[in-house]
Amino acid sequence: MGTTEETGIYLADPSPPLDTAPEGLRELLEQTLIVAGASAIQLTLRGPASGGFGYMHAVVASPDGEAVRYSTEPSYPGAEAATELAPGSPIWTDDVASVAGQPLAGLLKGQSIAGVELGLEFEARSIGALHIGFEGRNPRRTKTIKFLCALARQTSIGIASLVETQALKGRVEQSRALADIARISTSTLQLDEMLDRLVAAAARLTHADRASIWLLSPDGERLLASAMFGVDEKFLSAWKEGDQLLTDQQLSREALESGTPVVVLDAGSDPRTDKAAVEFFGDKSILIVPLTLGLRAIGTLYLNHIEKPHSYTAAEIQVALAIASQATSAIENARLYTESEEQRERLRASFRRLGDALGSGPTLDETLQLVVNIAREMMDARACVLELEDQVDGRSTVRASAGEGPSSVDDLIRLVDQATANGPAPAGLSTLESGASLEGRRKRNGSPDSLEERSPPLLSVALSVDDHRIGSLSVAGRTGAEFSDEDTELLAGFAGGAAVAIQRSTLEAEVKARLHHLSGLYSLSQAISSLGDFNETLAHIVDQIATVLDVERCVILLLDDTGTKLVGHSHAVGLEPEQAALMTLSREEATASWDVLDTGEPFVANDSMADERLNLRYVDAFGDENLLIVPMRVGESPVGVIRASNKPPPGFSESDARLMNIFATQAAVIVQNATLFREVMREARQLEAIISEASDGIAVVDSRGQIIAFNAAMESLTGWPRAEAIGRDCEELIQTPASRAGDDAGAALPLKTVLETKQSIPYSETVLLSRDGNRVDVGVSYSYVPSPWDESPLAVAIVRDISALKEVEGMKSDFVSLVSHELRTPLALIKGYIATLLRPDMELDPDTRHRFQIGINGAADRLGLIVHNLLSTSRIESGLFRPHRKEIELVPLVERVVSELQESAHGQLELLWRGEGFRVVADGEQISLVLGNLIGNSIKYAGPNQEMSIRITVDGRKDDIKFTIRDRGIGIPKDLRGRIFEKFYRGPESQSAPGTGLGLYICRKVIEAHGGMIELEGDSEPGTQISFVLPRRLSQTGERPELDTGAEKDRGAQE
Amino acid sequence: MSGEKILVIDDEVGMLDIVATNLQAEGYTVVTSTSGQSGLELAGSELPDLIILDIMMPEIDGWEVLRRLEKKPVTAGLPVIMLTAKVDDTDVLAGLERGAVEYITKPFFPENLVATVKINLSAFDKSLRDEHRASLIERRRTILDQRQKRGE
Repeated sequence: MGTTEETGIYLADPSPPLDTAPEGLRELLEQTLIVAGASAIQLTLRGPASGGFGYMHAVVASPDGEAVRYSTEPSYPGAEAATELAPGSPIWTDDVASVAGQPLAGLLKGQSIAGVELGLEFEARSIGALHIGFEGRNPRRTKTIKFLCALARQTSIGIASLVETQALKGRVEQSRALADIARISTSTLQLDEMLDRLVAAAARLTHADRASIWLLSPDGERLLASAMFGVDEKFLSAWKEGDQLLTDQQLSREALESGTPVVVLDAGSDPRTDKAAVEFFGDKSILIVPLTLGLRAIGTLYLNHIEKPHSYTAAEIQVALAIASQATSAIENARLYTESEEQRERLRASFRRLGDALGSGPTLDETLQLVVNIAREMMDARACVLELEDQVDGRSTVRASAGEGPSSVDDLIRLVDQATANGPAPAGLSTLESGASLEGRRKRNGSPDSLEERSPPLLSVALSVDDHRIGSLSVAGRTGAEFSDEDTELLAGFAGGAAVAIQRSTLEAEVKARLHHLSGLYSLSQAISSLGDFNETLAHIVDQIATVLDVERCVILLLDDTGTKLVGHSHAVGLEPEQAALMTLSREEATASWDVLDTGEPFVANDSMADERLNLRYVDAFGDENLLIVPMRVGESPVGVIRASNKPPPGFSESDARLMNIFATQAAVIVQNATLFREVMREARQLEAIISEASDGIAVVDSRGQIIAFNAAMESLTGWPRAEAIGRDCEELIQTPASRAGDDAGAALPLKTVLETKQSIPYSETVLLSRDGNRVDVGVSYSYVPSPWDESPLAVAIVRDISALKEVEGMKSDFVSLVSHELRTPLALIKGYIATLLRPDMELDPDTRHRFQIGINGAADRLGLIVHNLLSTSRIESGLFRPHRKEIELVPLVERVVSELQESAHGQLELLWRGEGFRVVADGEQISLVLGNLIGNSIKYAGPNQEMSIRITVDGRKDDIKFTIRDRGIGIPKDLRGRIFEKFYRGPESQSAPGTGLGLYICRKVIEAHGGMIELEGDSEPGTQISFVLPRRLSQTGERPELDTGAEKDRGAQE
Repeated sequence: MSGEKILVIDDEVGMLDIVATNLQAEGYTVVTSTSGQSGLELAGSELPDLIILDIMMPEIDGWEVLRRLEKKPVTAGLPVIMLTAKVDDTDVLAGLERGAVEYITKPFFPENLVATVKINLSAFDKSLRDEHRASLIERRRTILDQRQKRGE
């Protein structure tokens, strides 16, 4: 046939050696290197089934991944041990080169570097090992190690999916080979030619040097060569004559008797081989596959490898079986052809149609439909039905049908079902033993056992490939026209070719689906590598599962922190987020899910309503017809389960469970990674919060002196917003007056010095110059922070605003000189008066003398007040300041204070009494001190015009007594009002006036100690108005004054 | 009695009394002021021969008074004796640099003050002083004349 010849037979090696990296693997390894900051990766992969090893490794010299070097070697010592590592649990090792073996060790030139060692697995099967080295890094933190391990594990999934993809590509080739075989057997070639092509294909597909087909002679005593590949013609002619006695062929005999392939790995030493032949041809390995027709053996397919021993892969053996099966069919067909010319023509025509159609690469469903259509036409049947069996549970499903009307098909299906229900060979059906590994059944109309009187005749044949039943093909004949033996043989012959075509389509469909899933997995693992959003990734996984498995509902249930509940993740398919989040399953509620979690075994229920293992509450609530639950585990630790439900009939298969397991592994890794990542992030955030909330300014610079952290306190100190500060040079940004004035970088904060010397600087004081030129006194500590990872240390400056401290210091030193001046002034007066009075050369008149005496007295009082203030302050400071309260009468006390000061006020003190009741529980001496200080201030700050007119008001109110001192003096500027009660504080206006800055401070402390309050009142400009309130009694202290009665009495007496 | 006029500026009334009493006993005419502002005005109107000046005063302190005295032609060159409780060497030096002739710290011996005043008044050449005063009076008259003319 033209198609076949033109297309030729494209055959590739079904299991290619691992000398080329799977597509995308390099990218994945590079990505891992960059994400992990690793410096070397060695990937060791199990080679093909022959048992060899292949490895591939990559080394990067710089973190930018610029100098990536790849190398592949067929094998290395220790590779086998490496691939026997327990998969799934990364091991942290301090010297990865020593455990990775020679290749990595060679590349690292004996350097001892830390890293991760991890066995790789895919679908519970070890595929290799991964070693990742982190040069110059020795993380002390377990969390970091955990993270790197998780990353390694995650990468392994990506690698596994890529490697599996590669392996599947081999299966694609296998499927192509099967297609070719199908084409050969469905072509219209003569038998000899067809067998010649089959042996050639067999040799090529199995890498054999010789291939041959031998048929048993009719007497069953000899083997006659039928087709040869790679053998000299002269042998062929001899062997065709049948000089090979079966009794001499132990291997052939074994294959024929057992009906299974026989493999000889070492022909030279195997006792079963014909030593002479082995020596002659130089055979190293031999594969013999029997040609069987039903239970009857008719010959063998011989495959010989010379040059070097060959280990046969499963795929190769499968191909050989397929070829043997085809050869058997071809031989059988050829026999049938000769028997019935007409039938042969029909069969040939059908095969031609099938072969032509297969050339266009139809899908499985198209192929099935094609087979049904062709079969019905060939048999001139009313209906034709094709059933395929599930490879796992053996259940049959109608996959394609054709008929004259819908009812004809339904009738046929019913008949087939009945026939099957009655057992393999029910009465009324004759079983045809002949035919290429098939089983034929006929139902004759009107037979005594017929299930329905008028039911049409039924003919059903098995669809088998390599003795393996994959389904059946059934046709319904026309009423009255029964099927003959010839019909059965015709259909069986067709079924033989069709089965191969179907098998090929199935395989291709499966491979395509798997490739699709694997590429999904790969992109998934890439997505996770970038540590994307946890929820988004989980959502992606459930979506993927729902699409790939074609389920209505899919939800991830995660084990909560307490480990007692499985909680639904809100991103689910087929469930509202609220519904999903409400799924909180305890052990009692969801035994199936918990079993899955505990055992690690998937759970399948294809009739969940009837399944006793399930809690019907959820099944009912969701209307789950069928259910698949797989565990999410990382190593041995359970993370959660994935629950998928409502897959269209026939429900979940074992391969669904396998596939979902892969997704579950991914999801588990994501959950674990996310947990780790969240922990790392939480720590980072906490640290960030500590830094940003710190009251001290904190600036962190990298090894180049560029600012990488700058907190709020630092912003307010320097006037630079964080956004502008980040990335700037620290010396350029954080300036001191010296560094700005002289461009003297050395005068800036010595952060770069810290980096150069690798020495922290405990504490030093300096002045910062803010952005707008303000000077701030600061105390700075500098820390050198070496990096555990690499050569990029940090320097940290902790900057404390000490301007307040400095101000107090300044005030204190001012205070000393003020006090000396304050003490000196009245002293000078006293001295001056007395020295003048004592002048021997001077006679003073009595008036002057008297004036001087009063002056001495006043100066002495002033001195006394100052000393009193100093003592009070010192008592306040040492905590010894406590009022000695007792009930006192205010009238005489206030009057005395006023009259004492009246003179220095030039008699302008005015005293007013308001309200009633001027008895109070207080320390009289201290109240006098307060009044003296306040009135003294008013006198002192009377202003240039000596405008005294000071009014003192005492207001006896219900619960307290309010004192107000109002003057017309220089007043207090608004912006300073908040500070005047501070210790040592003196406004700029008062700088040249005498005073210690203690008066108002003492007043405040005294009044507060009395439970009262002192404040600067209103805007009594010009001048100042200060008032204080004394409660009549202290409510909160246990210190009780004398009895009220006494107070009443005294008051009455006063009135 | 030479009858020379001395201006004393101090915010302490008592201190003014002490200084004035001692100087008056020596026959000097004493003018007193309790603030820098009024002191400067008196220095311009009374044209004293010598000024005794306190430093620590509210509003206008002694340093400022000294600076303004030097700036005004009428009072420039007048001998100023600083009388203060500030005793730091730096203050003394600052006072002398700014044109004060003497620096006396409180508390003081009245005899010491009187002697210092005497020395400074006599050291100030009489003729020069007279000449100086004459020119000052001349200038003052001119100003008064101009004012009168403007006023009339």
